[in-house]
Amino acid sequence: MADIELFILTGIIVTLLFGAFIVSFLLVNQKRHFRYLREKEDIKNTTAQMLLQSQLEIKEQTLQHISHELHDNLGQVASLIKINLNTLQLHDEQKALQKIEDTKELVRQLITDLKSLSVHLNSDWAVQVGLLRGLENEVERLNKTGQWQASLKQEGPLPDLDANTTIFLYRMAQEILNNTIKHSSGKHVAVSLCTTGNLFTLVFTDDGVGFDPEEKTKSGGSGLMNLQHRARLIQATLNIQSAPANGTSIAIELPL
Amino acid sequence: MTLVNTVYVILLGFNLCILIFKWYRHGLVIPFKILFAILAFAIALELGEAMLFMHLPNNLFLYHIYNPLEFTLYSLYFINLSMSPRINRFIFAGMPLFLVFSFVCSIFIQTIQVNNSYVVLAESVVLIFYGLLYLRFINVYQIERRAEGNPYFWVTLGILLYFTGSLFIEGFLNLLMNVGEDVARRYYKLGFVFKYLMCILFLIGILKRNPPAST
Repeated sequence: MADIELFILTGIIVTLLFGAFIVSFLLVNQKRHFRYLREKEDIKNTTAQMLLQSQLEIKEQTLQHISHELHDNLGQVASLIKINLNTLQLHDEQKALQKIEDTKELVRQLITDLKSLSVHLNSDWAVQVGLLRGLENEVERLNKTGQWQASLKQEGPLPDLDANTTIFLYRMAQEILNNTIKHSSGKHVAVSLCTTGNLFTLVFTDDGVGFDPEEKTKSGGSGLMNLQHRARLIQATLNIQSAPANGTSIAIELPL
Repeated sequence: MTLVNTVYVILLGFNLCILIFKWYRHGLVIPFKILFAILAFAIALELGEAMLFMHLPNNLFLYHIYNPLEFTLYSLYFINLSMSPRINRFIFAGMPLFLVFSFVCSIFIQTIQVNNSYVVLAESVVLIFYGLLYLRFINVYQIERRAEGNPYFWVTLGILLYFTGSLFIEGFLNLLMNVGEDVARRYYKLGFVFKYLMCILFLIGILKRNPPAST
């Protein structure tokens, strides 16, 4: 075979291989790109689904809360009013006046509780007034019970949070405070909001009986799981520090 | 006309018929109109060559006319793929330069009685370069669009294959002739494999859905 023939054949083969490499590279690169787009879309859909599920859970919990409030608090006060009115002795003016005064006080309490419940349930309200005002309201509510001494502290400027994040943080705060009331048997609760650099931290501390977080998680405590789940949805992390008889500290850390 | 030439003409004609049909039914975008002209000129060359072969001993002068014309048409095809204004200016500037080069070659270096291998070499190298530029363009700027669904991708692949064959076989045909006429003829026939592949790839491109007129 002459040199020129060898050159031509080698040239053709090398050029064709080079071309095949370029075309394969192009197709593989495109395939990778499409796979990346598909995965991105999947993640977006999953997140949207989780967000929806979480919102439904929040709604379910809110309805449960309304039910408890109506039964345990408002219902009791209303029953008391009814008893007072039923047992009103009009022939004894002094006693009757006293009962009417008690009943008026109970009606006032009922109205206040209704207003408080309305504010507590309204997510739009929390978005409108902001997270700080919402938490102030929760702290005020705790202090009003007379069984708790709650305080709120703010360090650094409050970040500009979007509506969704505000609602999630507000509802998480409510759940943490409700759990504290139900389970901690403590006397003091401290809530602090702190912004340092690109991190917004919300910390809840109580002096209650505490618990073993690991054991609670292993036993499948749905309250803690829910909180973890919601924190993940807003790209935040939830840190729980607690030990039996040593109180509890729960921190929500949100990168800004 | 030999068998290999006849098959080539049939393939070219088939592509041309489909293009005419598409033109009549849906209209054609500019790059496909240019492709239509390229195929029509290729058929005219093959037929003209066969007809002249009976009357003239040397019909190589046809290639001295055909190659600059072919280069111009392919350049126009790549310009109309809207790669980027800079690349378009570059391709546009290449057209007169190549015409001057081929003219000078035909007059002074390889006269019209001789195979214009230098022009073929230059044409092949430049058009392969344009083809690779278009593949790069697809990879960088048209990543959202599947290459297999892009008719120009197939046409460009056809161009790349055809000019790869052309570069090595027709570009070095004069040297092969020195080795022996039989050898040159064998390689010349091998060149038709690339031409057939080009026609098949063009056909795939033509049969793809008509792209929007802006591309």
